[in-house]
Amino acid sequence: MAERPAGSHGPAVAEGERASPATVEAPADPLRPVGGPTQAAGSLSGRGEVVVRRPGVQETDPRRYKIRRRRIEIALGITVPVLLLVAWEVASKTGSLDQRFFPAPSDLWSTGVHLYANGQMEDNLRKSFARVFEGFFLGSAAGLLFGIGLGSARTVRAALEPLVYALWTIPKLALLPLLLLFFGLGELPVVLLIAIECMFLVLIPTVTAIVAVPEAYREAAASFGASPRQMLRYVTLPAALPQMFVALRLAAGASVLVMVAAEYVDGKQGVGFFIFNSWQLFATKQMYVGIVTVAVAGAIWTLIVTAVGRAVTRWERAGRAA
Amino acid sequence: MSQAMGEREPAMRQVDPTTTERGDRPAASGTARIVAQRLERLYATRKSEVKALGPLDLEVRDGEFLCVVGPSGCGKSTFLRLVGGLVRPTAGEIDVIHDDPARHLVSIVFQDHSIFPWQTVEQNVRTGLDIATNLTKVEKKTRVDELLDLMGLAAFARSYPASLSGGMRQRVSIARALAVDPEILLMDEPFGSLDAQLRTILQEELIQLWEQDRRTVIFVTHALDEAIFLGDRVVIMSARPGVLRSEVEVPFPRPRSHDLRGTSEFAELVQRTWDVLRDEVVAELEEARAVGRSADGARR
Repeated sequence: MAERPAGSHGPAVAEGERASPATVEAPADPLRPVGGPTQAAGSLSGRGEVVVRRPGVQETDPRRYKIRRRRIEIALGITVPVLLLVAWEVASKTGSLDQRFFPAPSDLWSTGVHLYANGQMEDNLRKSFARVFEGFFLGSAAGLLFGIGLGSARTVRAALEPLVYALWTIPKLALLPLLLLFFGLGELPVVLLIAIECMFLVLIPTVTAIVAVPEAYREAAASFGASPRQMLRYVTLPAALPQMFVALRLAAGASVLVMVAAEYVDGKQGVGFFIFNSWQLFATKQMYVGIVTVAVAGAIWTLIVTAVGRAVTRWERAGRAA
Repeated sequence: MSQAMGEREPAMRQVDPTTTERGDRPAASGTARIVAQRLERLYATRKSEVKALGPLDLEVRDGEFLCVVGPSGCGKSTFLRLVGGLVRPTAGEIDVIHDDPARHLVSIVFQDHSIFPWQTVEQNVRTGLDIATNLTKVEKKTRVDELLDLMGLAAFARSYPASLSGGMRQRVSIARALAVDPEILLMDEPFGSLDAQLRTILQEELIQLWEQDRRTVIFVTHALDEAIFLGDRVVIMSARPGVLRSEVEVPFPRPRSHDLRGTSEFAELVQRTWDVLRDEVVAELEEARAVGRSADGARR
């Protein structure tokens, strides 16, 4: 250490074990390999407080740490709702909650089992979701088609965009009486109303997504002489696909909502009708079973759309740490 | 190599950034390939029209590796887009000779963010073939595999671009452009977003690749050392609106290797060329300041 020039600061990290008087005096080649652990730590002692940075549990066993964390998260996700249900059950049974409005979960369960056993709920579900699917596919297809048309052709956009935005602001449920007037009570008005709602929900994000496709992608395809059709196929559609699926997911959720609302008014079967009818009969337990049924079925339905979306936009998650 | 070194000396003397003398290398055949005459391009903004380029007169020789350098906003990318047919000139004309109309004329390698994130590496490289050719699946596959091998991408064929590094992505971009075997290759700051180390490596790869087929290349960059290392000729454009300011015949023989960078001749040429370019960059800065001042004045 004594050979080090007086002016040099810091620990002898760079010199390591190779520091010898010979190399200090005659540095033949300034470029030299350096390797092995340094003894710098030793030279730090006695120079005030040493701040040490070392690996913790997270770093020494990252796999186990991750698994443990995940387990805790799953456990929390299950325990919290279960605890709330238990609290509800207890409150309802002890009378702190009015049984007429808030029947105990255990009672709801037995009502549900009964309703499902006699096939009543299943019929309602089937009817309702047939409407949801028809409306959703009809409306989404129209929304995607118009959206692509509006998004890719400036002239079409100029002609129709103001109109679309004007119609967009109308609450779609307000159209139900009109549809009932046109088509009478029955399937068609419900399906149409769902379709209209889905169409607008899909149309506007689709237009936005297509207009926002980066010019760089278009130029790349254009440099190969892509025709308008090829441009759509190789650039516009795939580039807009992720946002289209965000829109489709919203539409899937909205389709259930509109179905329930429409069935309150129009319908002799269906989950929406069932809930409304239970209210009229003051059958609170049935009402709850209906609500839970819609919630669960709706959640599964949107999950399916989400899963399809993920499957067709796999690149979105490429390169992201699992 | 010793013979090559001997050639370098006399060639050096010919180089004068302000003249247009041509070196006597056999590389480019000398026949014109691309001719721009009084070429101009205006862009309409909300308030006025901005002249991005021209009037520009420029000849690109057949089989030449031409580098275009200039301050940012000088219209060098616009020039490339004009050659590639992505935009049309607002005045003047540009003629490009298409030797074999059955062959693809131009491909472009863009700076970044132009390979498709929704396609795997393999699909990206195949895109040009899908769009521009009627090859069979098998023919396309052979061609794509060849290029993936050549660019060291074979192991990533099924990966999406998002999982690749910047250097790998640019390799994909080059492979995609080369897949259609274009007569002319246009490169718009292809290494602009890479770090200095990767940039050096990719330059060396590119020059090796090019020295094998010697197709006509226009390479736009803002890095002088890159232009001189790669090009047969470097043209320097002025600040906006870009016109040709001067050109340099690069005297260094081919094949070139990374040793070239270490030579004093290389450093000297970069330095002399920089003196010219520097004036333009300063002019560009001054103009930006002037615009800022007048905007300030208007606000008061």
